[in-house]
Amino acid sequence: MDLPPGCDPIPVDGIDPETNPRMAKAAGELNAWIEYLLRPETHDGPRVYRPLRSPHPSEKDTEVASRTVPDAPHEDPREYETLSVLEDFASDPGRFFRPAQAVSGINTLTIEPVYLKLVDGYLTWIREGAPVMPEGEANDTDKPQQRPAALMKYRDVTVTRINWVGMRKSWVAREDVWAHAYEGDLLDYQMRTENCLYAVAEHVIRYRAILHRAGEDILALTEALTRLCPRPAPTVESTFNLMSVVVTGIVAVATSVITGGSTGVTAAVLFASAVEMVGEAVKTTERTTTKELVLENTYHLRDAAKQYLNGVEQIEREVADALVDLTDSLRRRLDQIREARQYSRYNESQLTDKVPFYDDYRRA
Amino acid sequence: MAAPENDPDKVYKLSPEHMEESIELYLDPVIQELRRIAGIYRAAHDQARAAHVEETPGWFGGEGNGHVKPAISSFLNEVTFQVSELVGDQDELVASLQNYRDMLQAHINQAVQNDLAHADQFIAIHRELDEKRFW
Repeated sequence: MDLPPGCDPIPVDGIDPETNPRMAKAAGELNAWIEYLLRPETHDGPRVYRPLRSPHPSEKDTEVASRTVPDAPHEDPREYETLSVLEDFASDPGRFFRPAQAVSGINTLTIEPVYLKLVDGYLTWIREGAPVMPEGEANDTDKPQQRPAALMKYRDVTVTRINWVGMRKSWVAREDVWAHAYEGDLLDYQMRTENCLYAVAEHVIRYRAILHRAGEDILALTEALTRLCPRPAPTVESTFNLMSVVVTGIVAVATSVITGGSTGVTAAVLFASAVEMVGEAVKTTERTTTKELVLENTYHLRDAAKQYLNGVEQIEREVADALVDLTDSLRRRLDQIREARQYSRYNESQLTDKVPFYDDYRRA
Repeated sequence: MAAPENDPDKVYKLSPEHMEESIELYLDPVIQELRRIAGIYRAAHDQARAAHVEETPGWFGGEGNGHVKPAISSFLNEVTFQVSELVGDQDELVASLQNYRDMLQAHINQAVQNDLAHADQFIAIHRELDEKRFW
C-alpha cells in the first residue's frame, strides 16, 4: 500500500503485530495517512480550501490533491481557510481504530488449550488399537422412553456395553439384572455429558469465528480507505464492495469439533474450524444475514471516512450482539442435551436428571 | 424364560476368577479414562475461569467503543458456569462407576468366602464321616 511521501507506518496502540500482523500493518498505514492528512501545513499534499465569506462555508469547500500556486486565490488567507481533508475528525482520530482494537488481540493460541480440553472424550472417541462399534450399530440404549437419538451428534462408538455384558457373563443373580439396567443408563449419561462439553467447544469455535470474520471485514474496509487517501484517489478505486456475512448469523451455523479421518477421529483444530465455518456461513446463509461492505470513492475524503466509520462501528456493534446471542445459544443447547440426558431408572416411570448410581437400581 | 439353573430369582452363581479378570480388562480402564477426562475438564474450567476473571488478552480484545468486551465477559462467564456444572457431573459419573466396581468386588469376595465356607463344610463332613467309619 502507498504511504504518504516521506512517511513510515505509525503503529496503533492495542493492535499487536504478533497476533494480528495484517491488521497491524493496515492500521499502521492508515494511521500514517491520517497523521499526514491532518497536517496540511506541513506539506503540499491534499487539503481543503474553505471560503471565509460564504454564508455556509463548509458547503463551498474545495478539496484539492495538492497546494495550488502561491498567488492563487485559494492561498489568500483573507479569502480562504486551509483545512485538513479530515478536519471533521481532528479532535478524535483514534475513532478510526477503536473497532479494530475491539476485535484485535484475540489469539487462537490462548483459546485453544481450553478448546482442546473440552473436546477430549471417552465413549465418543476412537482410540488407536481399540475395537470400534460398526457405524450402523453405534447407538445409545434402545429404550421406549428414550429421547430422539438424532439429537446426539456425537455417538458412543466404543464396545464398552458389549464388554460389560461379557464381564457379568458368569453372574446369575437378581443384582445382575439391576447391573445391566444401571450400566446402560450410566453409559448414555456419559455420552450425553461428553456431548454437552462438545457443545461448549462448538460455541468456542463460533466465538473465534465471529471475531475472526469481524476482524477480516474491518481489515478490508481499512485497506479500502487507505487506498482512497492519496487524493484524488485512483479512479480504479471507484467503489469498494465486498459481500460478507453479518456476524450474528454465525451463531446459527453448524460446526463440528471432531473430524473423521482414515486414522480415526481427531479434534478439529480451532482456527481451521473457525475459518471453515465462516466460509460455510458466507456460502449458505440466507440473504438476510449477508451484507455488502461498501466504501465509495467520493469527492470529499471526509465523506468516505464517514462511510468507513459507520461501517466499522456497525461491525463492532454486531460483534457484541452476536456474542450475546452466542451466550443464549450455548445455554439453550445445553438445556436441550440435558433434557435428552434424563432417563427413568429400572422399574420406575419418573424421569430423573441425576447421575445413575447402582444403589438406586437395587432399591428400585 | 431362563432355565431353572439360570433363573436369577432362584439361583445365585458367580465365577470369581472370570469376574475379577473381566473387571480388570473391561471396567478398570473405563474408570481410569473417565477419571482422566474429569481432570482434563476441570483444567479447562480453571483456565476459562482465569481468562474471565483476569480478562486475559487473547480471549479479550481491546477496549474499542466499549461494546465487545462486556459481551466477551458474559460469554466466558457462561462457559465457566456450564463447564463447572459438567465437571461436577463427570466427577459423579466416576464416583458412580467406582462405587459399582466396589459392589462387584464385594460380590466376588462374598463368592470366594462362600466357596471357602462350603469347602470347609465339606472337609468337616468328610472328617466326621471318616471318624464315624473309624469307630
